Amino acid sequence: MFFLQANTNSPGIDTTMFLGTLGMLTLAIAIVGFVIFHQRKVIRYNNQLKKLEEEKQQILLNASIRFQEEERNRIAADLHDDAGPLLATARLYLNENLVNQEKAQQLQSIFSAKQILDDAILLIRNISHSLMPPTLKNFGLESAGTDLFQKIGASGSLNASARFHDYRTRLKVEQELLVFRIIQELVNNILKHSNPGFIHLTQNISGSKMYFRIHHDGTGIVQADFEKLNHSTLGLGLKNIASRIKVLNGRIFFEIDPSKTYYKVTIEIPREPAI
Amino acid sequence: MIYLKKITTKNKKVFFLYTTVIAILVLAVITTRYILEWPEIYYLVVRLYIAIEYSLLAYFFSLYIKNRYVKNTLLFSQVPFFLFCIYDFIIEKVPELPFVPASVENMILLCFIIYYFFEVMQETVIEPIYQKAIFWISVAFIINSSGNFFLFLYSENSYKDDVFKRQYTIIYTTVTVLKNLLLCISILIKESRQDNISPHDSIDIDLDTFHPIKNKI
Repeated sequence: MFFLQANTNSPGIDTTMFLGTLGMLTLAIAIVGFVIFHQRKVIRYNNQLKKLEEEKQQILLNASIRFQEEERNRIAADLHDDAGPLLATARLYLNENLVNQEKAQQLQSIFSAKQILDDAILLIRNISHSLMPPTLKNFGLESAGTDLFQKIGASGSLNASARFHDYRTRLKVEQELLVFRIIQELVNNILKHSNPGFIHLTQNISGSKMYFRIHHDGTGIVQADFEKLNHSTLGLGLKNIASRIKVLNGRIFFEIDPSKTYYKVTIEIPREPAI
Repeated sequence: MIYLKKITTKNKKVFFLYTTVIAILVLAVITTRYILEWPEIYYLVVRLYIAIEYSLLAYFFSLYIKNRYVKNTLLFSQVPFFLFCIYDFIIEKVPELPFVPASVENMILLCFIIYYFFEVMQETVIEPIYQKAIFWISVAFIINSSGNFFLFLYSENSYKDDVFKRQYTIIYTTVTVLKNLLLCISILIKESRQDNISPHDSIDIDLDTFHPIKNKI
């Protein structure tokens, strides 16, 4: 215990004790001050990050609004340019003179008008299907996903498949539509930019989460590229995906396989089964 | 009374136990020294005070330290500390205040509080540390330990000197008042409840096996 005992016989012992105590107190206060200073710095940094995140949200919102407007314009153009002329032509065939025409000509006009109306119905149905695929509405995401990949594969230019490992319980209709749109957007992007040899969709569940993964062997992006594109003014489709993921309370991961042979895009969403 | 309403967690319960036990021991110290004037019992009560204080503080801070090894070291340090207190009691020639065990207690507490701050600095900051009661409790004990450390070291040999005794009283009282003030702040602090952010779950489910469907050509 001698090492813990101060010698009283040495001169100026009180000064040493005071200085020692003062030094210890200063050291203690300095440590506390440093901890507070460090924390304040970290909080300031976190606030900056939060601000950046808010800005990103604003960009996503703008992109979403822009996308909505573009979609409306497309539907308006489809209706105006295709359905409008068809219906106008049908109206021409069915004008007032029809009653004055000969029977054979009348029949011919009615037949032509019927054919044009059939075309118009088909066109409107196609527009409607592009808004809400009937397979998705009636049979669910599994059928719609499989159907989408079958159609891609049917072109013969690439190998496409979809496999749902565990989709016994359907998600809510709104969730299914959002997931389907994300998959559609991803597939469109891959077909447009990646030039893949194959594209596969898989699905599985784990706990309270559902996962969808798209594999392709084309040119892909990784998470850092996705974040970068999300923060820039480019990549409207990716921003749309990000905003849909946000609505779903999910996450998306862009990765390259360790073997570097294919890319993976994984969507993670909370399971909300349809009632 | 203000504190009683706030006791909801284990940590607060331990701290409440600490304050209650210390209050009883302080009363015992005052009674044996000034009322009953039993010096031998007084010295014994002070020894008991140091041992129990260390034990409760070690348990209290171990609740906040996250590293398992450091936590266990702090918890099990109570045993050697008790043994050391007993050893110091046995080897003393005349009954006296246990300055060496007090210095050791301060030194150990200082080390673990500094380690606690180190852990705090590595954590994700959700709210400023000074909005938590534990911060003010830690500051109280870091100031108490650092302020009294040198004092107890020198007291072992100089306590009999009247001039030193006066200086001792001034420093000890100042540091104790400061400690109690900081402990009062810790009681009055309103803590906000924050849930821990769950770490990223790794995706280890089967998503990489796919059987190509028969494409229509």
